[in-house]
Amino acid sequence: MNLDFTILLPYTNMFLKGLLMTIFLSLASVLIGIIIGFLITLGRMSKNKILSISAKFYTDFIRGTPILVQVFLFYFGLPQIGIPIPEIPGLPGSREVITGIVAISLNSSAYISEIYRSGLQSIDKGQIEAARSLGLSSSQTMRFVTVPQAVRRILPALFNEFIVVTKESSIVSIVGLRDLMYVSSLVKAATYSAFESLIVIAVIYFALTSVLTKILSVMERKLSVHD
Amino acid sequence: MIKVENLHKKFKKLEVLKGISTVIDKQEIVVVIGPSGSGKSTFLRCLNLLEDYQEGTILYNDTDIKKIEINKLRADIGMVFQNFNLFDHLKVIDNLILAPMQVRGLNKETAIANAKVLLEKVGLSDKIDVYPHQLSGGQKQRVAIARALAMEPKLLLFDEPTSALDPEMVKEVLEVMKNLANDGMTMVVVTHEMKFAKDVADKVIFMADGYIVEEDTPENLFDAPKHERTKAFLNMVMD
Repeated sequence: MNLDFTILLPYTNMFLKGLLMTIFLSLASVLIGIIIGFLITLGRMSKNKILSISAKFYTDFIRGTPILVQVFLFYFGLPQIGIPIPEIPGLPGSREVITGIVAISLNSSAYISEIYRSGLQSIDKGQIEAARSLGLSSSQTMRFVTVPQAVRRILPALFNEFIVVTKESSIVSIVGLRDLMYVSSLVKAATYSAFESLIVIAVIYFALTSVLTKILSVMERKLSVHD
Repeated sequence: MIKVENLHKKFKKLEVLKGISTVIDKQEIVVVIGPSGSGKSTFLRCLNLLEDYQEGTILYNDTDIKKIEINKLRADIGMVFQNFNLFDHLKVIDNLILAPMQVRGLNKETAIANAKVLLEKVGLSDKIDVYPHQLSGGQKQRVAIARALAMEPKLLLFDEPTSALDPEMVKEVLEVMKNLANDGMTMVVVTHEMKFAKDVADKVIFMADGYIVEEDTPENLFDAPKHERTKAFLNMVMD
């Protein structure tokens, strides 16, 4: 076995850029997912049957199909039916980035909407009954009791979703988005050696998720709801 | 104050109230006893429409409660739950001022001043800034009573207020309830505390299988029950 990590030194900058892209992609996708997920949840809780059924189908479909298929649907499928994803002038690779963000954020929004839903459902019925028995309306109960309590359970789960996405977003390297995963294949092609660069990105991913997981556990402690 | 006529309530096919009629007068303390599954709690929860019912009417000051704006009705009828149901994310003081500010429209200063008086009344002035999880069961229930009182209700409903408490904490809660009764509050109490019923009630209702089997003064009901079903129940629960 002869591993030589020094062959990677000239590519340090590329790895760093890849890491930044991975973080940017994950952050942007989860932030957009948070908004779309909220709309999906409103839809699911809506009294309008069509809205709630379509919202449920959306989450079921996203969660029931491979993310790779979803990425390809956007990358190859949309242009074929005449909806090309644009390239921002002056920003080479932006078409891939936009595709990546669209695919990952839509995927994430389905999981995030489930996080919202279970957060809201986890609130003890007694809390709501107590609020209503005091004369608070259902929207006042939502605002002052249900949502503040649910947020404490939802925030850590959202952050966990961000950790999941930092790893799963590596899938979009397949359409040429220059994230950490993509950099490793570029370096592999340039150095004719795969193992070293894969080890390096594995360590980078692991370091990233370890730091984020540590933040998450602090967050969980701070927000823990005492029942 | 409250007049219940021929109340029927079904959960899907299961009929849990099979024609309840009774009257609750102003300043009266009514205690409802009976075996579990007899419909006591369901009956209580119909009085502030936490449960809907299919047949019969409940009149509040001669008006059908279904014709009253529901949040107005509930602002008038306080409820104390078996599991306290304090708002876990709010300090004691904020538990007490939320509804007075949002529903009664009190300003914060007034609401806080009122809340302090009530906490004093239930003996918990020193707990004003703590969270519910820092309280014992008995303290939680006393805060819950103060929270209900903060709405200045005309009627207070108690749904097994001491059933979730450790034995040594039952007394402190019953004591608060006795004081309320002495102050002239109108109360309907579902409970298994027979001694409380004997000492405090003006009227005891015995329910079984969705019916009111017997209602009378505590003296008559406990010492000279008329129905076999009542006798059998009292034999089971009295020492």
